[in-house]
Amino acid sequence: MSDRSSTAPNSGDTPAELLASVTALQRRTRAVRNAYWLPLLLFGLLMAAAAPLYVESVDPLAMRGGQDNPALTGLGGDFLERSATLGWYWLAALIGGYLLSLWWYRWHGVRVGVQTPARPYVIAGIVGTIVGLVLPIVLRYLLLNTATAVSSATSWVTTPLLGISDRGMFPHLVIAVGLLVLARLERSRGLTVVAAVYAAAVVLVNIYFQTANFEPGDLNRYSLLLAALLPAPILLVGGGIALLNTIKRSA
Amino acid sequence: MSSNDEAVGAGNRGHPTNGLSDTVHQRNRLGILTIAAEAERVEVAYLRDALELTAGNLSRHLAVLEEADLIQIERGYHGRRPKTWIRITEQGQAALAAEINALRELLRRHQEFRAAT
Repeated sequence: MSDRSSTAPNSGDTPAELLASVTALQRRTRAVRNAYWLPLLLFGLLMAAAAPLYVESVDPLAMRGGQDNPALTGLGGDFLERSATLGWYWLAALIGGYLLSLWWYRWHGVRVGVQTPARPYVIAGIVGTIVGLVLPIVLRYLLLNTATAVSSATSWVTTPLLGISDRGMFPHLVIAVGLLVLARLERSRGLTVVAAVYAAAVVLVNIYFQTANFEPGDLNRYSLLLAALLPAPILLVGGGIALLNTIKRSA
Repeated sequence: MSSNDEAVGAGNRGHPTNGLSDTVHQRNRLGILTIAAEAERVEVAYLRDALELTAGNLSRHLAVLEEADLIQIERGYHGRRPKTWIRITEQGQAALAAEINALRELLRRHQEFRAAT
């Protein structure tokens, strides 16, 4: 045989050597294929860019609510002064972000010759975005327009979810779900860790807001900004490290 | 038995060497399937570089795997440049898993034998 192979597994090797060769090939291919630094940095930056929309012009006396915003701005919640603008922003940012990620994975795959199946990640993101638009309507209906028995029985899940949505933090959850799906597709431990830490941060921030018994005056004009911005550095640092590793590998 | 059956079906009969398929066990074809299983699809040029194969050799191995329905070959263009992509089939995934399981089982028996002697 005229093969000049030194990297392929060798049939003459022991099973242990063969399995080691297979593992090495898997690792090498995965390293070339992994391109998650861009979605991490992209969504981290989109989150940071949304910061001004989470700032109130004055200290709120109590949680705002009951704004009559268009249904398409549902991602911006109901508690913020600029909820409608925030809703339009996140609608465009999430759809644009996921489509840009899909283009990025296609381009990267053609460039390196190994393609990641990114479509399920984009589908998860777009479905999450649609859920983010529909969910507040459904949750409000369950809480306010159903029999007391139904609203009481479901309030343990509807109230916290509506809280996340009203604070304009449902997009953060959509991003978390998308990243967890992407981590599975990328088969990357690094991305799994970043996605899990990020998801935990989003959940913990919202648990804090849900369980803290805020009195009027406890919240200032930056309170919801801090909540919304806290998880962003996790994505930016994770994406930055992944980018540095990619540059190091290709150097 | 067809080459396809031979590639995917010999999994769990008797001694683990029975789980090794000639189609899959060949070192370059095992390498091709391993790489293809890591991606949605993989370009022929990447396989050639990663496995350090000549174009002719790679082409022969791909033909064997395609014949056994373990991979699909997609020919197309990216701009004006022709590109050939390889996609592993479900049978290919199953054959690779069977091969790796057989190797693990062989390794386990080998270690047990060494520990006993």
